[in-house]
Amino acid sequence: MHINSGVAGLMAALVMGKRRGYGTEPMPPHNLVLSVIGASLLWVGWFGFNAGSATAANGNAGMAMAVTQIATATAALSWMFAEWVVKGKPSVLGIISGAVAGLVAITPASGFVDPRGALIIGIAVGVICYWSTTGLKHALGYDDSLDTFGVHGIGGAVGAILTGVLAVAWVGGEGKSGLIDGNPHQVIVQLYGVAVVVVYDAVVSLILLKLIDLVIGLRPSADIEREGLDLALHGEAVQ
Amino acid sequence: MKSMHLALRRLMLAASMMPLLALSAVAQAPTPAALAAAPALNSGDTAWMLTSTALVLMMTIPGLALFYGGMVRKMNVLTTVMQSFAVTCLVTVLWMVCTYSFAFTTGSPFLGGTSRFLLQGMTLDSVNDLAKTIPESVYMCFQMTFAIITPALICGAFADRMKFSALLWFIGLWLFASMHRLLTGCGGQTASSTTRAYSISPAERSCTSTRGSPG
Repeated sequence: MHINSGVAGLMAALVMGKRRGYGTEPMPPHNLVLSVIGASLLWVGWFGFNAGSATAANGNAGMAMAVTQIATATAALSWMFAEWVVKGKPSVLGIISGAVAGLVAITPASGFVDPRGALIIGIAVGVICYWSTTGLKHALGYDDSLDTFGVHGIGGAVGAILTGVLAVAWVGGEGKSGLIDGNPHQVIVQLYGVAVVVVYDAVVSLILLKLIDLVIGLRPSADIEREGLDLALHGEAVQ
Repeated sequence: MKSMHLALRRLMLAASMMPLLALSAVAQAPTPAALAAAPALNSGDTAWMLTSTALVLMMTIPGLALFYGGMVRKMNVLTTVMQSFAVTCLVTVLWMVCTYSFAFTTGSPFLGGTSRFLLQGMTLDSVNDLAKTIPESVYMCFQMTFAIITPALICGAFADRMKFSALLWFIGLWLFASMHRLLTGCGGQTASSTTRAYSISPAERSCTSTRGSPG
């Protein structure tokens, strides 16, 4: 599901092109306190997302909740330390982005991995998504404004693939085991699953975006973009 | 004195209604046969799923709206929070009209079922085969909140540079074309248990469980 969003987002960013002024003028977040509140609500809400997916109030839901909390906290720290080492400062944007990356990555895995697996997923996804939203994004040159692809696309893929490695039968049930539980084949299955979603979604999103662009256009005019969408599109603005 | 009089009158009125209430209760009481056929709903599961549904909706509004809203420049913050809010509303209506039916009832392998258009047939005690211990209405709403946050997440990629009208078209069409196809057309008919990808997200849930018509 996150790979869906991530890939669709990437296609949109590619089709629409960069924001005007991207790369030449700074575009810092205007209010990170809002983002911290938002990320915190996402974190809490995610218990419904993962522990609710058992559709029952039972041990599976409890375990899903536990691994969600563990992977999220681990990924937040992992991203924070990666940024600290590379850039010299741990940022607020970094730790909340790490938390969201952890939530995304544990989602396919919750219900299949144990708490140790969650710890490993958290560590891996924090570092990998830090790289994908900095190194990878700059290397490839696309403008994914708020890192939907970097966090959700890459994070979702990391989680899905690591589920194939770290799944254990005592959590997921009979026959639901991964590489560490004697079923290396599952890693291939997960890779195949990710590839199918990526290809299908990329094609569908590309067609839809091109179609809408042809009929009504996707982007507002350059002037509107420069002076802000709020006033031009909605007739309101935050002072 | 006056209030006491009023209370007395209310009491009398209530007493006079009692036989009527009892009569209607008898009329609505299910027959033994209907009781036997009714699915065994679990109040604990239902309570938790009601809670989960609220939590997942909270992820989009206000969670995602604030998360994204804080990260854009000030001149685009309202556009960004409006995107999350409008997607929530748009997907809810589409879900009610047809996408729930397409995604979660049996029909053709590619399109899914049409038996729940406008949620026709969803009753107080119907269940979906994918979650037999909770009411179908709860399951429908729970899955709806997932269908809301998935496209709402995409908005982060084109923040600052998408027309609002184009956004509504894109999200509406994308819900059908992409999410719905993943929900229904993911090979659930042919995949064996050893070749399925593990995931408990709703998109893959329909692959890992036997799909059947809701009760």
